[in-house]
Amino acid sequence: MNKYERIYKELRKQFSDEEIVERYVIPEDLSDQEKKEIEEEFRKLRLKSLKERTEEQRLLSELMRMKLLMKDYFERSGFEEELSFSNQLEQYIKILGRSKKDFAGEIDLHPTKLSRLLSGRENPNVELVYRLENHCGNVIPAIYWWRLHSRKLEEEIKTDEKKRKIESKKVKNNLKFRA
Amino acid sequence: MKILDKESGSEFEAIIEKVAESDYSEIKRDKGFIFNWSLEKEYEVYKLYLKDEEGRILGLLSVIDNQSELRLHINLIEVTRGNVGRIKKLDNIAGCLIAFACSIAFKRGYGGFVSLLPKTKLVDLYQNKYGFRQYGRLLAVEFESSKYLVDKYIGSE
Repeated sequence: MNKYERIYKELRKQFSDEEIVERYVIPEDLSDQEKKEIEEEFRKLRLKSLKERTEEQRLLSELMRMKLLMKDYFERSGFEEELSFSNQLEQYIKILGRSKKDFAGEIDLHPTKLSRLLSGRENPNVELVYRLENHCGNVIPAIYWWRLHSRKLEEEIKTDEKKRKIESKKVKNNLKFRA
Repeated sequence: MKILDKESGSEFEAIIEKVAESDYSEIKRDKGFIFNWSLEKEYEVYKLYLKDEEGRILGLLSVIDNQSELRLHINLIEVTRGNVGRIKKLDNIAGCLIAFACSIAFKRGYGGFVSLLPKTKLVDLYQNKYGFRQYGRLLAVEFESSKYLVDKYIGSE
Protein backbone atom coordinates (compact mmCIF):
# COMPACT_ATOMS: atom_id res chain seq x y z
CA MET A 1 0.00 0.00 0.00
CA ASN A 2 1.30 3.51 -0.81
CA LYS A 3 2.44 5.78 2.02
CA TYR A 4 -0.33 8.41 1.98
CA GLU A 5 -3.02 5.79 1.47
CA ARG A 6 -1.69 3.89 4.48
CA ILE A 7 -1.81 6.99 6.69
CA TYR A 8 -5.28 7.87 5.39
CA LYS A 9 -6.53 4.36 6.25
CA GLU A 10 -5.07 4.71 9.75
CA LEU A 11 -6.80 8.06 10.25
CA ARG A 12 -10.03 6.68 8.84
CA LYS A 13 -10.21 4.18 11.72
CA GLN A 14 -10.50 7.12 14.10
CA PHE A 15 -12.12 9.92 12.10
CA SER A 16 -14.78 10.56 9.48
CA ASP A 17 -13.79 12.03 6.09
CA GLU A 18 -15.31 15.38 7.18
CA GLU A 19 -13.05 15.43 10.22
CA ILE A 20 -10.03 14.53 8.12
CA VAL A 21 -10.73 17.42 5.73
CA GLU A 22 -10.98 19.78 8.71
CA ARG A 23 -7.46 18.84 9.80
CA TYR A 24 -5.46 17.51 6.85
CA VAL A 25 -4.55 17.99 3.25
CA ILE A 26 -3.27 14.56 2.27
CA PRO A 27 -1.84 14.22 -1.22
CA GLU A 28 -2.81 11.43 -3.59
CA ASP A 29 -0.20 8.72 -4.10
CA LEU A 30 0.82 8.99 -7.74
CA SER A 31 3.42 7.48 -10.03
CA ASP A 32 5.80 9.85 -11.79
CA GLN A 33 3.93 9.26 -15.05
CA GLU A 34 0.54 10.05 -13.45
CA LYS A 35 1.98 13.19 -11.89
CA LYS A 36 3.35 14.31 -15.24
CA GLU A 37 0.01 13.81 -17.00
CA ILE A 38 -1.93 15.65 -14.30
CA GLU A 39 0.53 18.55 -14.29
CA GLU A 40 0.42 18.83 -18.09
CA GLU A 41 -3.35 18.89 -18.15
CA PHE A 42 -3.42 21.43 -15.35
CA ARG A 43 -0.81 23.67 -16.98
CA LYS A 44 -2.96 24.05 -20.09
CA LEU A 45 -6.01 25.01 -18.01
CA ARG A 46 -3.97 27.42 -15.89
CA LEU A 47 -2.45 29.22 -18.87
CA LYS A 48 -5.89 29.51 -20.43
CA SER A 49 -7.33 31.01 -17.23
CA LEU A 50 -4.44 33.50 -17.02
CA LYS A 51 -5.20 34.67 -20.56
CA GLU A 52 -8.90 35.05 -19.74
CA ARG A 53 -8.34 37.07 -16.58
CA THR A 54 -10.77 40.01 -16.42
CA GLU A 55 -10.01 43.61 -15.45
CA GLU A 56 -12.06 43.13 -12.27
CA GLN A 57 -9.93 40.12 -11.31
CA ARG A 58 -6.72 42.05 -12.01
CA LEU A 59 -7.90 44.88 -9.78
CA LEU A 60 -8.91 42.53 -6.97
CA SER A 61 -5.53 40.76 -7.12
CA GLU A 62 -3.56 44.01 -7.03
CA LEU A 63 -5.62 45.45 -4.20
CA MET A 64 -5.40 42.29 -2.10
CA ARG A 65 -1.64 42.31 -2.64
CA MET A 66 -1.50 45.94 -1.55
CA LYS A 67 -3.64 45.26 1.52
CA LEU A 68 -1.64 42.22 2.66
CA LEU A 69 1.68 44.02 2.21
CA MET A 70 0.27 46.86 4.33
CA LYS A 71 -0.77 44.31 6.95
CA ASP A 72 2.76 42.90 7.07
CA TYR A 73 4.08 46.43 7.47
CA PHE A 74 1.80 47.07 10.45
CA GLU A 75 3.20 43.94 12.08
CA ARG A 76 6.74 45.30 11.76
CA SER A 77 7.96 48.29 13.70
CA GLY A 78 9.18 51.60 12.33
CA PHE A 79 8.34 53.82 9.40
CA GLU A 80 9.05 52.82 5.79
CA GLU A 81 8.94 55.52 3.15
CA GLU A 82 7.69 53.16 0.43
CA LEU A 83 4.65 52.46 2.60
CA SER A 84 3.89 56.07 3.44
CA PHE A 85 0.31 57.21 2.89
CA SER A 86 1.28 59.34 -0.11
CA ASN A 87 3.25 56.57 -1.84
CA GLN A 88 0.48 54.03 -1.30
CA LEU A 89 -2.13 56.47 -2.59
CA GLU A 90 0.01 57.04 -5.68
CA GLN A 91 0.27 53.25 -6.07
CA TYR A 92 -3.49 52.89 -5.71
CA ILE A 93 -4.13 55.41 -8.50
CA LYS A 94 -1.65 53.53 -10.71
CA ILE A 95 -3.44 50.24 -10.07
CA LEU A 96 -6.74 51.86 -11.04
CA GLY A 97 -5.22 53.20 -14.24
CA ARG A 98 -7.10 56.50 -13.80
CA SER A 99 -5.82 60.04 -14.29
CA LYS A 100 -5.26 61.94 -11.06
CA LYS A 101 -7.88 64.46 -12.13
CA ASP A 102 -10.52 61.76 -12.69
CA PHE A 103 -9.65 60.04 -9.43
CA ALA A 104 -9.87 63.34 -7.50
CA GLY A 105 -13.37 63.81 -8.93
CA GLU A 106 -14.40 60.31 -7.93
CA ILE A 107 -13.55 60.89 -4.28
CA ASP A 108 -14.81 64.49 -4.26
CA LEU A 109 -11.40 66.13 -3.80
CA HIS A 110 -10.02 69.20 -5.52
CA PRO A 111 -7.14 68.10 -7.83
CA THR A 112 -4.81 70.53 -6.03
CA LYS A 113 -5.60 68.92 -2.69
CA LEU A 114 -4.91 65.47 -4.16
CA SER A 115 -1.63 66.74 -5.52
CA ARG A 116 -0.67 68.06 -2.06
CA LEU A 117 -1.58 64.71 -0.46
CA LEU A 118 0.53 62.84 -3.00
CA SER A 119 3.54 65.06 -2.38
CA GLY A 120 3.16 64.69 1.40
CA ARG A 121 2.57 68.46 1.84
CA GLU A 122 -0.88 67.73 3.25
CA ASN A 123 -2.08 65.01 5.61
CA PRO A 124 -5.19 62.88 5.14
CA ASN A 125 -8.19 63.33 7.41
CA VAL A 126 -10.74 60.84 8.68
CA GLU A 127 -13.25 61.77 5.97
CA LEU A 128 -10.72 60.93 3.26
CA VAL A 129 -9.84 57.49 4.60
CA TYR A 130 -13.53 56.58 4.70
CA ARG A 131 -13.84 57.69 1.08
CA LEU A 132 -10.81 55.59 0.08
CA GLU A 133 -12.23 52.54 1.83
CA ASN A 134 -15.46 52.92 -0.08
CA HIS A 135 -13.71 53.67 -3.38
CA CYS A 136 -11.64 50.45 -3.25
CA GLY A 137 -14.76 48.34 -2.69
CA ASN A 138 -13.88 47.90 1.01
CA VAL A 139 -10.86 45.75 0.11
CA ILE A 140 -8.50 48.07 2.00
CA PRO A 141 -10.15 49.22 5.25
CA ALA A 142 -10.17 52.89 6.28
CA ILE A 143 -8.08 52.03 9.32
CA TYR A 144 -5.29 50.73 7.06
CA TRP A 145 -5.09 54.05 5.21
CA TRP A 146 -5.10 55.85 8.53
CA ARG A 147 -2.34 53.65 9.99
CA LEU A 148 -0.10 54.45 7.02
CA HIS A 149 -0.46 58.10 7.95
CA SER A 150 -0.08 57.56 11.70
CA ARG A 151 3.15 55.57 11.20
CA LYS A 152 4.72 58.61 9.56
CA LEU A 153 3.33 60.87 12.24
CA GLU A 154 4.82 58.64 14.96
CA GLU A 155 8.18 58.75 13.22
CA GLU A 156 8.04 62.55 13.05
CA ILE A 157 7.07 62.81 16.72
CA LYS A 158 10.00 60.58 17.66
CA THR A 159 12.61 62.29 15.53
CA ASP A 160 11.68 65.97 15.08
CA GLU A 161 14.06 67.50 17.64
CA LYS A 162 13.75 70.96 16.12
CA LYS A 163 10.01 71.10 16.67
CA ARG A 164 10.40 69.57 20.13
CA LYS A 165 12.70 72.41 21.17
CA ILE A 166 10.49 75.11 19.65
CA GLU A 167 7.39 73.78 21.38
CA SER A 168 9.09 73.23 24.72
CA LYS A 169 9.92 76.96 24.80
CA LYS A 170 6.21 77.70 24.73
CA VAL A 171 5.52 75.68 27.91
CA LYS A 172 5.41 77.39 31.30
CA ASN A 173 5.39 75.97 34.82
CA ASN A 174 6.09 72.43 33.59
CA LEU A 175 6.24 69.64 36.15
CA LYS A 176 9.69 68.65 37.35
CA PHE A 177 10.68 65.39 38.99
CA ARG A 178 13.90 64.42 40.66
CA ALA A 179 15.96 61.98 38.63
CA MET B 1 -5.31 35.68 13.15
CA LYS B 2 -7.55 34.09 15.72
CA ILE B 3 -8.05 30.44 16.68
CA LEU B 4 -11.33 29.53 18.35
CA ASP B 5 -11.56 27.33 21.42
CA LYS B 6 -14.80 25.48 20.75
CA GLU B 7 -15.34 24.54 24.37
CA SER B 8 -15.01 27.97 25.95
CA GLY B 9 -15.78 30.11 22.90
CA SER B 10 -12.58 32.09 23.60
CA GLU B 11 -10.32 33.25 20.81
CA PHE B 12 -6.53 33.01 20.87
CA GLU B 13 -4.04 34.97 18.80
CA ALA B 14 -2.14 32.63 16.47
CA ILE B 15 1.07 33.15 14.55
CA ILE B 16 2.28 31.45 11.38
CA GLU B 17 5.95 31.52 10.46
CA LYS B 18 8.56 29.50 8.62
CA VAL B 19 9.70 26.30 10.29
CA ALA B 20 13.29 26.56 11.52
CA GLU B 21 15.77 23.72 11.02
CA SER B 22 15.72 23.09 14.76
CA ASP B 23 11.92 22.56 14.69
CA TYR B 24 12.15 19.38 12.61
CA SER B 25 13.58 17.25 15.40
CA GLU B 26 10.89 18.62 17.72
CA ILE B 27 8.17 17.75 15.19
CA LYS B 28 9.61 14.25 14.78
CA ARG B 29 9.41 13.66 18.54
CA ASP B 30 5.87 15.09 18.77
CA LYS B 31 3.43 12.16 18.71
CA GLY B 32 0.71 14.55 17.56
CA PHE B 33 2.17 14.55 14.03
CA ILE B 34 2.11 11.38 11.94
CA PHE B 35 3.60 12.55 8.65
CA ASN B 36 7.35 12.66 8.10
CA TRP B 37 7.85 16.42 7.85
CA SER B 38 11.58 16.08 7.17
CA LEU B 39 10.56 14.98 3.65
CA GLU B 40 8.99 18.42 3.14
CA LYS B 41 12.23 20.29 3.78
CA GLU B 42 12.77 20.90 0.07
CA TYR B 43 9.56 23.00 0.03
CA GLU B 44 8.41 26.02 2.04
CA VAL B 45 7.19 24.77 5.40
CA TYR B 46 5.28 26.91 7.91
CA LYS B 47 4.16 26.27 11.48
CA LEU B 48 1.18 27.65 13.38
CA TYR B 49 1.31 28.25 17.11
CA LEU B 50 -0.51 30.32 19.69
CA LYS B 51 1.17 33.61 20.59
CA ASP B 52 1.19 32.62 24.25
CA GLU B 53 2.51 29.09 23.62
CA GLU B 54 5.38 29.50 21.23
CA GLY B 55 6.94 26.11 21.88
CA ARG B 56 3.83 24.14 20.95
CA ILE B 57 3.28 23.67 17.22
CA LEU B 58 -0.40 23.14 16.43
CA GLY B 59 -0.34 22.90 12.66
CA LEU B 60 2.04 22.55 9.73
CA LEU B 61 1.80 23.58 6.09
CA SER B 62 4.03 22.64 3.18
CA VAL B 63 3.74 24.63 -0.06
CA ILE B 64 5.47 24.52 -3.43
CA ASP B 65 5.96 27.80 -5.26
CA ASN B 66 5.32 27.23 -8.98
CA GLN B 67 6.37 30.61 -10.36
CA SER B 68 5.97 29.74 -14.04
CA GLU B 69 2.26 29.00 -13.47
CA LEU B 70 1.77 31.80 -10.93
CA ARG B 71 0.47 29.44 -8.29
CA LEU B 72 1.20 28.12 -4.85
CA HIS B 73 0.57 24.41 -4.40
CA ILE B 74 -0.33 23.01 -0.98
CA ASN B 75 1.51 19.72 -0.69
CA LEU B 76 0.60 18.81 2.86
CA ILE B 77 -1.29 20.14 5.88
CA GLU B 78 -1.41 18.49 9.26
CA VAL B 79 -2.99 19.62 12.49
CA THR B 80 -1.64 18.02 15.67
CA ARG B 81 -3.72 15.03 16.68
CA GLY B 82 -4.35 16.62 20.03
CA ASN B 83 -6.80 18.82 18.18
CA VAL B 84 -8.27 16.36 15.73
CA GLY B 85 -11.82 15.10 15.39
CA ARG B 86 -14.01 14.42 18.40
CA ILE B 87 -11.34 15.37 20.88
CA LYS B 88 -10.48 18.64 19.21
CA LYS B 89 -10.75 21.85 21.18
CA LEU B 90 -9.22 24.39 18.85
CA ASP B 91 -11.02 25.09 15.62
CA ASN B 92 -10.00 26.53 12.24
CA ILE B 93 -6.32 25.61 12.30
CA ALA B 94 -6.31 24.01 8.83
CA GLY B 95 -8.51 26.85 7.54
CA CYS B 96 -5.98 29.38 8.82
CA LEU B 97 -3.13 27.49 7.14
CA ILE B 98 -4.97 27.35 3.81
CA ALA B 99 -5.85 31.06 4.10
CA PHE B 100 -2.21 31.81 4.89
CA ALA B 101 -1.22 30.09 1.62
CA CYS B 102 -3.82 32.26 -0.16
CA SER B 103 -2.32 35.41 1.38
CA ILE B 104 1.16 34.42 0.14
CA ALA B 105 -0.30 33.76 -3.30
CA PHE B 106 -1.78 37.28 -3.37
CA LYS B 107 1.45 38.88 -2.13
CA ARG B 108 3.49 37.09 -4.81
CA GLY B 109 1.19 38.40 -7.53
CA TYR B 110 -0.54 35.08 -8.26
CA GLY B 111 -4.07 36.45 -7.81
CA GLY B 112 -4.43 34.30 -4.71
CA PHE B 113 -4.14 31.12 -6.79
CA VAL B 114 -3.64 28.11 -4.52
CA SER B 115 -3.91 24.52 -5.71
CA LEU B 116 -3.96 21.12 -4.06
CA LEU B 117 -4.26 17.51 -5.16
CA PRO B 118 -6.22 15.69 -2.49
CA LYS B 119 -7.31 12.10 -2.39
CA THR B 120 -10.02 11.65 -5.02
CA LYS B 121 -12.69 10.60 -2.52
CA LEU B 122 -12.19 13.81 -0.49
CA VAL B 123 -12.49 16.22 -3.43
CA ASP B 124 -16.15 17.11 -2.81
CA LEU B 125 -15.48 17.82 0.85
CA TYR B 126 -12.64 20.27 0.08
CA GLN B 127 -14.87 21.96 -2.46
CA ASN B 128 -17.73 22.33 0.00
CA LYS B 129 -15.71 23.34 3.03
CA TYR B 130 -13.20 25.75 1.46
CA GLY B 131 -14.69 26.70 -1.91
CA PHE B 132 -12.08 24.97 -4.08
CA ARG B 133 -13.04 24.23 -7.67
CA GLN B 134 -11.78 21.63 -10.05
CA TYR B 135 -8.89 22.30 -12.49
CA GLY B 136 -8.48 18.92 -14.16
CA ARG B 137 -7.47 16.58 -11.32
CA LEU B 138 -6.32 19.47 -9.12
CA LEU B 139 -8.43 21.76 -6.98
CA ALA B 140 -7.82 25.49 -6.77
CA VAL B 141 -9.02 28.77 -5.30
CA GLU B 142 -8.23 32.18 -6.77
CA PHE B 143 -9.48 35.78 -6.81
CA GLU B 144 -12.80 36.03 -4.91
CA SER B 145 -12.73 32.51 -3.46
CA SER B 146 -9.17 33.03 -2.23
CA LYS B 147 -10.06 36.45 -0.82
CA TYR B 148 -13.01 34.84 0.97
CA LEU B 149 -10.67 32.44 2.78
CA VAL B 150 -8.24 35.24 3.71
CA ASP B 151 -11.10 37.38 5.05
CA LYS B 152 -12.69 34.48 6.92
CA TYR B 153 -9.64 32.96 8.59
CA ILE B 154 -7.09 35.77 8.75
CA GLY B 155 -9.28 38.89 8.81
CA SER B 156 -8.10 42.47 8.57
CA GLU B 157 -6.92 43.32 12.06
